[in-house]
Amino acid sequence: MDEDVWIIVPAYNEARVLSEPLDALCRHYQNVIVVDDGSTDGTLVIAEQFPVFRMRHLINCGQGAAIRTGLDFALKKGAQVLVTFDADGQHMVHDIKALINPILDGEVDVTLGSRFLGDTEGMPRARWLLLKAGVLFTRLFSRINVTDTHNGMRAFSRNAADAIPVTEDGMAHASEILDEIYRLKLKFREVPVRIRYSEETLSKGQSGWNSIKIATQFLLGRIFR
Amino acid sequence: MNDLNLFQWFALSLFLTLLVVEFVQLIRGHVKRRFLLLRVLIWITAGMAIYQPALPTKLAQFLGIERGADLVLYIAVLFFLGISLFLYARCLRLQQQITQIVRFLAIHDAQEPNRPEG
Repeated sequence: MDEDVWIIVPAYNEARVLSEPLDALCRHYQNVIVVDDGSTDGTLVIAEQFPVFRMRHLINCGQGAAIRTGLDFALKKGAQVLVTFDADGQHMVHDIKALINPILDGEVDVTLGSRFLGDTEGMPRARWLLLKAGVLFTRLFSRINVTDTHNGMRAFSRNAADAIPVTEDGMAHASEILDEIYRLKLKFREVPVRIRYSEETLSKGQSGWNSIKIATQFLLGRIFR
Repeated sequence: MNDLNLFQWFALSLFLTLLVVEFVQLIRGHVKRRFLLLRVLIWITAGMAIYQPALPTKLAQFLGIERGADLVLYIAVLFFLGISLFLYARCLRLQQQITQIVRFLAIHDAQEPNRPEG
C-alpha cells in the first residue's frame, strides 16, 4: 500500500531547511519526489543525500508549476495517492496518514490539510488575519466551504490528480485547486494538521501585498482559462 | 483638397505609406488577414479624422457626446484596455508553453533515488 503513495515536495532555495523534512519523509515513505524549481542555492545537492526521486526545473516557474511536474511524474510511475508537502519543515510527516486514509478507503477524492481545524505553532496574528481573508475570498469566488485555503498539505486520488489541471504556475495554484474541486464536483474533506512556523517560513510567507497579487492572478487566470 | 497643415501632410503621408505596406504584405502572403483588416480600418479611420477634423465632432454629437476630442479619448481608452487584455492573455499562454517545456525536460532528466544496495 505504501508503494502506491507518492509524496511531492516542491522546493525553491530550501537548501538550509530541506534535510529535516526529507529525513522524516524517507523514514516513512519510499516514494518521495523533490521538484527543484530552479533553485540557486544547491537545493538539489541536499536532496541527493536522500533516497528520493529528483528533478529540476531549468528556470524558476513557481510552486504551482513544480507541484504539477511532481504530480505528472508520480502519475507516470503509477501513483494511486499523491500528497503535496512543503519543503520548509512547516508540515508534520505524521499528519500524512490522516490525509491519505480517507482516499485509500475510497471515501473522498481529495483531502485538504487545515491548520484551523488542527494546530499551529508560532503563527503571527497578521498571518491569521490574512489567511482568514483568504477563506472569505475562496467562499465568495470558488464557492467552496473550507477553513484553510492556502495549506500546502493535501492529498489527491489518482483520478483527482489527473483531472485537476493546475495551470497557475505561482501561488494562485492553491485557489485554482479549490476552484477545480468545486467545478469537477470532487469529493473532498478537510483534515486537521499541525503547522510549525519558524523564522524561515515566516520570511518566505505571503505579505498583504503579495496576497492581493495572488488573488488578482487567480481572478485573471479564471477569465483566460 | 482643403489646405492641409504640416501635421496633416505628415500624418496622411504616413498612413498612406502604411496602407501600401499592408497591401504589399498581403500580396506576399506575410500577414494574417483578420489583423490586416483591423489595422487597415485603423489607418483609414485615423486618416479621415485627420483629413476632416470636423468629422470626429459630428460623429461624437451623433452619439450624444459633446466633443470630438472626448470621443477620440474614449475610443483610445477602450482600445488600450482591449490591447492590454489581449497582450496579457498572450503572455499567459506563452508562460504556460514555457512551463510545459521546462516540465518536459525536468521529467525527462529525472533522477532515481540513491538507495543503498541490498
